[in-house]
Amino acid sequence: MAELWIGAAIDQNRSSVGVDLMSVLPNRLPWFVVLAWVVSALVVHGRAESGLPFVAGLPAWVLIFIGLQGALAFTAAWIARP
Amino acid sequence: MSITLISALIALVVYLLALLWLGAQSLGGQTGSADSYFLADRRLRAGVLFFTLIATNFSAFFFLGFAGAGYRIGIAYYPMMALGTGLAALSFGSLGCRVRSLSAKHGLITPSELIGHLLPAEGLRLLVLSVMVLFTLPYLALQPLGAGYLLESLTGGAVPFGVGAALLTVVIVIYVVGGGMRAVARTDVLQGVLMFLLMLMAFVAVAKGVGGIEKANLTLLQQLPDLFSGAGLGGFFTPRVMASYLLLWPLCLPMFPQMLMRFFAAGDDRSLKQSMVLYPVVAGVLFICPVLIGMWGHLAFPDLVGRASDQVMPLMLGRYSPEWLTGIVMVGALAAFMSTLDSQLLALSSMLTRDLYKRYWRPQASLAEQVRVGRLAVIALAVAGLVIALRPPEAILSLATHAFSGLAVLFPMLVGAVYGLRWTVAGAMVSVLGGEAVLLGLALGGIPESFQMGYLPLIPALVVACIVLGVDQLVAQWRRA
Repeated sequence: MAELWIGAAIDQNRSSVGVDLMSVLPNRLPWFVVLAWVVSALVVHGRAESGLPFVAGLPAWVLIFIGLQGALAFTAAWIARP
Repeated sequence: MSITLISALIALVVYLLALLWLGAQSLGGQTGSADSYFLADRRLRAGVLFFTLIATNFSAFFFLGFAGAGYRIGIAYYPMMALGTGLAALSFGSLGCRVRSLSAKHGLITPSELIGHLLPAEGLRLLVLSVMVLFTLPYLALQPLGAGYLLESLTGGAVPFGVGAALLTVVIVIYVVGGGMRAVARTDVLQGVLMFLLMLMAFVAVAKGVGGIEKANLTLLQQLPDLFSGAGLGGFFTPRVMASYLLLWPLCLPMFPQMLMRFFAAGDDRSLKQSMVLYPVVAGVLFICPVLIGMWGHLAFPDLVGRASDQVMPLMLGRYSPEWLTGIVMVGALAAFMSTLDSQLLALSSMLTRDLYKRYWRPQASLAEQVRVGRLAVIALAVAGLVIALRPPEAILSLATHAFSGLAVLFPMLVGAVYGLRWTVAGAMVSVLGGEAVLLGLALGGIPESFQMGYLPLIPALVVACIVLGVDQLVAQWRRA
């Protein structure tokens, strides 16, 4: 552990220019999902009127949001696949 | 002595003893290294990681603030918070996995060390450290403040505010100093489970009391139809405000030092990804409970004004749930306060130890010495938080309200660097300083409100930060060409 830590301390003072980060870059897909869901949520929110039908005690637009939330969980599961 | 008070006191004593027992269990197995104390040897997996992410993120605002917002705004508060939080969790499986891998490979422990590794420059490290401490410390001080008031109200004044805040802080300090991240994560599991169960129990009891979800909502629809509109009461959620909030959570949540450090402490990518999947489900199920309880508050307490509406949860429990349950549920709110405070204490203590003490004062400090200093820093920060909580200066409270936006300004620079973008040091620093300057200017009135164009202040601040980084990349490309 001590060797690992000393290595890290040295590494922190070294320039990372040239380090091959491209091969280990994180997945960009989740950020596109964030944008897509924000746009979808705004579309639903834009059509949310208090006069919309109620289903199971909740306005239909809230149920659509719950559907979006469920779809988000499924999308997260898809992103998380091995 | 009422049944509510007796049940609250019994639940409180059992809960605090359980925390201390879990803290004591965490004393074994430590190797005395900074990794072991601050990051639990980077071995947090699956269930424990999930609960520690949840408990750290869900403060008592989840119990009290959501219900108050449901009362003031209406049902629109629910999808904003639930979807925003679910979207924030997507960072666990992308940013989180990359940060975990980098930190484990290079022995990084703090966010400043991470940015120092990606963009080596002392000024930038110090800037990230300053922003994180500046916005986390006031937020930290709010926890004993809220917990003290809650305990005072819970015990009907038998435990005064100052004594309550001090008692809860002392318990936290004991288990954080003793067990570090291991103790924090274990207690987070207890606190997370308590939050889940107690919120669901409160919801079932109140829903039954108001005659069921459908009946209560249809009655409210007749009285206050705007409670069910997308804009909410008073037209609070304009499309631009809604867009701002939906973006705020995904951008600010990973920038909290206590959340970033959970990425460092994760045992493997799989555990982070499991948390990413479960987070939207839990937020979707749980968040609707306090918001609906708050809305139903109009049926029983139609005259709450302003911040008084934040008391709607205990008021509704007092009216509709069994007496024994009211006290116990409020202990759940205390758990939410404490689970956020302990994580903030540990995160800030690691930063003060590694990024200031070890880097500038005693570079030769051994790992054991760092742990000792870290423990002292936990005590010092807890005392500082308590002192601020007992006599909160206006400026500190104001800073705390801007904590989320202030931290989110770091997002473009830090996440871009993690994704391999090579900012220049000047570009990275100007991006953060420019974004924070916009927030400051809007808060103090130096920048006209029209600059926000109807969005929250975070959006123009982020636009400025991104423009600076974009120009930085263009200049770098031009120089290379």
